[in-house]
Amino acid sequence: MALTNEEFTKCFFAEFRDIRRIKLAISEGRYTIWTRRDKPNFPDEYLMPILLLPDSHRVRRKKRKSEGEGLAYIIELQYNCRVMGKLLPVYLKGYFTKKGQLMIAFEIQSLRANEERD
Amino acid sequence: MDKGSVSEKRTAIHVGKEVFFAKAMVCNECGRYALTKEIRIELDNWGKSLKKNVIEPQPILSRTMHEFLVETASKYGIKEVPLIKVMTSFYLNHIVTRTDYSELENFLKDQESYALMMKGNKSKISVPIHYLTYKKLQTYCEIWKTTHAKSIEIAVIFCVGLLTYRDTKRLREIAESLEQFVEDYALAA
Repeated sequence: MALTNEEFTKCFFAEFRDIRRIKLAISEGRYTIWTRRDKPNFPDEYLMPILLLPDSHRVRRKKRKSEGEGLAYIIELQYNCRVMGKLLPVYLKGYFTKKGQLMIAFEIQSLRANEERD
Repeated sequence: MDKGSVSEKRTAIHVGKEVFFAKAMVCNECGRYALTKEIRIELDNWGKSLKKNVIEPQPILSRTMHEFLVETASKYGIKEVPLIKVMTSFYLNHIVTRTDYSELENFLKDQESYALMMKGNKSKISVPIHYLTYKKLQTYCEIWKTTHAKSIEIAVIFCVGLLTYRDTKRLREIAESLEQFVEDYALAA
């Protein structure tokens, strides 16, 4: 059973590592993939290997420039993903949205091969 | 999405030759649209409910391969095209996910039966693909930077190789699971 916004917010703030927060959002299906028509992001199956990453996996925070309610920073993450028999370095960039005091979802701006990142 | 504002718009999402329309948030500056959980579910439900196929690639196979496929299909009481579809599905769901996938593929390519299956004039065959297989096939094509038709050829060549060469325990087990997969499909059909 999916968590309510209140429950998700509580779980979110109980975690202090960004990687754990991303894992929480993925496992709850609380993510949105912003999709370009000319060069679409990867589908969400590329997110699943994140669930298996150790909590010590490196993530980077940067100041967020985009509009919209949410945390003030974006998160960048690089990881390897074995999909369709090929090991692919993947680049993920996104930020957490909120409504008032409630955390809502992880907004994914980039989910692509590391060499194609924008 | 980077700096601009967003507004809700009717958005076309292309799925093969079909189009799914959804109300999505779209960035007014860069045109990106938000693929939310709700839209992903709607899209999946729409795709699964489609009666028509979303793509119809035309793989090119040798005459020997066609003959082998027709003969194998007849053992299960199905036609050649459904067998190709089942082999493609098996390959995408059960073969490429294996850690020894590259090793298996290289091993089968080195066998005499592989060269034999490539003999004879080549001809196209239309293979209608439904939504779920399309999703897998599309991912495969993006990863390996190839076409739908070529991917099907690779899948069929691999599966035929499996069925004709099963001298090791590992290959025999995979071949048996492929036979079971085809049998299940034939029974369901």
